[in-house]
Amino acid sequence: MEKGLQKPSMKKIKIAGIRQVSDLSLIEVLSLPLCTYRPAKILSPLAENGINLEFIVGHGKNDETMDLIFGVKQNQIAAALGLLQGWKEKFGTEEIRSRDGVGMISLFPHGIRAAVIGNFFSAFQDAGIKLFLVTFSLSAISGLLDERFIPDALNALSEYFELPG
Amino acid sequence: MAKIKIHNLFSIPDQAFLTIRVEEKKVEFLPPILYALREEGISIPFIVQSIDRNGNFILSLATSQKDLDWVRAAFQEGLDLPQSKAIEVKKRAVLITLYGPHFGEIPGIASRIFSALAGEGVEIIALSASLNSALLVVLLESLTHSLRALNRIFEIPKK
Repeated sequence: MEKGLQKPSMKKIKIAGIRQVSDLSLIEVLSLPLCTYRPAKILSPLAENGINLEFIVGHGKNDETMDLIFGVKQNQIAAALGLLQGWKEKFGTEEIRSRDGVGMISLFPHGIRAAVIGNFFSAFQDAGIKLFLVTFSLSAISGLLDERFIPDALNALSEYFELPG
Repeated sequence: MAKIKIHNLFSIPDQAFLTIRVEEKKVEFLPPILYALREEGISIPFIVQSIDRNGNFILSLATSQKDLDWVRAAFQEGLDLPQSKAIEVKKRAVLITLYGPHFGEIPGIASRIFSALAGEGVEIIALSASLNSALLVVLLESLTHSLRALNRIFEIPKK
């Protein structure tokens, strides 16, 4: 750890692209009791009713619970929450929260290295924007934020990343 | 139910999986820690972050088991965390990556993944799925069962 926990000299990292999506809603099923079938039982009614998940993260696991966080299009939030509420009244002990007006910014780097993740977090911190969720995929790192701050976030990211062209 | 065609499925063994719970005010120290990992040439093939019911941040990440001590020390010192509790570690983890169609275009992928793995008794340690891939973290002892379950729902091209 002698190498120091500080920002290195700023050099923009070249990336392959950036994508933004708005009009999303975030649903958080917190402290989901650990039972192997539980997540599938919660998600199945959504699929059966044609509600598509834009992304999903499950983590925060301890010996008893884990958190399940996913996104749907904002025009499907009422239906999704209705189905989840029905589940909760029958079986649930978990807490279900939702948030509208969520945007998603995905960054497509040339390989996701620790420096890319560091710059990603730095940009949002510089802009004073809270990340509700960070998701990870094979080709991208994505941040979920209040959609009103998407332009500010893009500006901040442009200080750390260089887009092609 | 028809299998879902995907482009590829591969797994990365010998991973350690860390879950770190941290107060929001300490999140500003994350980037310097990540830059330090970069300096050491340590890769992070999986990272997700969310906010728990108390407003604290939960960060989960995978790293090679050989780098575990260094990574744990970096987060412990960088975030000034107490020695116990704040970082949970699972050793002998495997990262499974499914690379396929756009996740948001086919309903029920997550539900089918959870259901198939549950049918084989596999406990998912963590999952992140968006755009065109899904990353799953399971324990090594569940790998065979996990792959069997995933092969039941996904059509994976023969190599």
